[in-house]
Amino acid sequence: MYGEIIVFLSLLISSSYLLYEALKLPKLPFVVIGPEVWPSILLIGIIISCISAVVYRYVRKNYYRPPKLGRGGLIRVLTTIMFIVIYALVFEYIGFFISTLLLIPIYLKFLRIRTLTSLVVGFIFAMLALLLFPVFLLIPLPRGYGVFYDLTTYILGLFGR
Amino acid sequence: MEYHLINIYQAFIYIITNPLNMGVLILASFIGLLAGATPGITSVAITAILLPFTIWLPPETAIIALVAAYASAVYGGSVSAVLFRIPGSTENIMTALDGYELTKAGRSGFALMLSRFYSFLGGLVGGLITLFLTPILADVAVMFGPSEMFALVVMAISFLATFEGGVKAVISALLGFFLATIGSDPVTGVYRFTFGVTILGGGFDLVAVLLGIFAISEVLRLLESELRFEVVKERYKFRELMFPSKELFLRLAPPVFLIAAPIGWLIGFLPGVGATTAAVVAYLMARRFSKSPEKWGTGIPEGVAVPETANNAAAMGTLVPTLALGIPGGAATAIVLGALMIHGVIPGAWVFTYRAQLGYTVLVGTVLSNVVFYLLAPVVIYMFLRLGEFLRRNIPFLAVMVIFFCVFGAYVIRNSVIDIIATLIIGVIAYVLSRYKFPTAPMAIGFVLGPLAEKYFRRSLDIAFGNPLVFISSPISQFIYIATALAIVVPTLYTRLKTRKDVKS
Repeated sequence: MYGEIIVFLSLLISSSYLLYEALKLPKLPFVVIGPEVWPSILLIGIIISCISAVVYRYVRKNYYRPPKLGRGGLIRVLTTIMFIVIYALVFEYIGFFISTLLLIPIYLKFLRIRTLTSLVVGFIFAMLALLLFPVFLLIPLPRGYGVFYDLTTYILGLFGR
Repeated sequence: MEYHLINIYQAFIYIITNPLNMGVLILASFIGLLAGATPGITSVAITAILLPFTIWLPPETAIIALVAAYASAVYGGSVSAVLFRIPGSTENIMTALDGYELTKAGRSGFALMLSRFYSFLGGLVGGLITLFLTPILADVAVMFGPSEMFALVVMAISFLATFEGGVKAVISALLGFFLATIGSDPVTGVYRFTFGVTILGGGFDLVAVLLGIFAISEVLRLLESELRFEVVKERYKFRELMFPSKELFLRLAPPVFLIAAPIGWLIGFLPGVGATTAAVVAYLMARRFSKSPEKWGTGIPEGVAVPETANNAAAMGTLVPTLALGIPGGAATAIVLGALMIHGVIPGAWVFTYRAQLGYTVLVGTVLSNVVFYLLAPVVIYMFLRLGEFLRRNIPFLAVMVIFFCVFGAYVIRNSVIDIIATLIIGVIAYVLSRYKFPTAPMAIGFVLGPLAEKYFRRSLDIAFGNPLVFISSPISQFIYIATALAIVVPTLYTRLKTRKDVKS
């Protein structure tokens, strides 16, 4: 019941803080409209909208309840967020190829996909990344450090890159 | 006029009888289609990637290759927008709304037919307008100053009010506008809301934001529920995948021909705006004038046909300022402009007089590229349709594919992990907001229109030394504001009168 109010209040508090930050921006003498004006207008708009929404819902007792999130669903959502964070964090350290090859099977295994299928899918995506970006489109991707760098460089070398 | 038609005819014959031109046109269109349909590779990216390969070609052929790849990628982006809710290019942002809803309803083939047919139609109409009016209308583009451009943006913003959700839609749009302010201030260079993260000085990239709002939030939503969906295998007759029925064509004709094509072309024609804004404005405007605006976003054919017509018409319109004035209409045409300069061609009105063969060949090639991608598209559609069916039946694989393209698509923008994290954070915010019935489309629209709104707002006031009357001082802006007011008031009054009449009867 209070979930919706919490969302509005979170937006209200963060917008107020950002407005405070906006008003601290340097005011330059030679500029007619400073860098703080436009964001301040927007943030004041968000603050007013949030206050009106909270007051309206509190007075009318009219709250929106989202569909209940089951335990399994919640775990899957949180794990997916964590998976992307880990993927992003290791991406540059162990390289795009190894990170894809390792993390996708682990994630798929968590989603109850068979081990062999997970490994095959991980390999397919790692190869897709390799062929699509550095080989065909010539877009450089991180190769990692140390042994990971050597390994990725060797694999790229097999494709002439 | 006679001289103009003769040049068009000569250019047409020159292209279709030259195997190199035709070969390059077909190859570039196919590459553009595949790249556009692949999430993470935008129309601008593929145009830039192809640029080095066109240096050894004759100037006309090089420009045809770039324009054909760009036009095909603008269409190709709709394939992943429809099937996976990941706009392949930023131009397909609005197509993802109704296109994906059609896919969820088991009508992805129908949605892809619509996007293909109306992309072709938009490109063709836009191309023909460009072909016949470029040499005549080039000077009109420079009549739009900052206050006139701000009036256009205000018009687009006012149509956001048609989104359902009341105050939630307003907050969502304002959040989108605010996200666009993060980074270096375009006028003074002051860093805003970067909190010491240097790479945020460049702001959030549009691709990263769109991937977050549309793709990440959708994956999280899908993973909430069961991991296996029963998907009915779609079966279509050949004709159903080629053209819309006569009834549907007639139903879609008013929004397509009266709003999407002209608005799309006009916005493309204005320097520095681009096809993404064209799709957004056309969608909002068509929705505003629709008899049932509440149905938009729930999977109606208009929701696919209108933005696809507009973005492809705009892609053609962007060539006008590029060729005739040397002012690129968007990022992709900036690359085309670069290619022209690499080949020693200085753009300007003289391209259509002293270098008539070049000017007209490029314009005719542009029109022909629409025909070529229309004919090539079934191959790409078939591949992605089957892939989409398989992935929707197996949500874990769909999740992995979307995450894979989000991670790589966000990373390759600036070779920075920060963009991946930004995509995730925006995706999680969009997911939480969508759980509480905040429409997320206004956020994406706000992010697209935000930089334009701020730029023209500040530039207008700077020019007028802070005098706010500058916004209504020119006849063009006055006309736009009056048209906007009428567009808001007339449909509302009409609906109220109709309701009153219905109640009475």
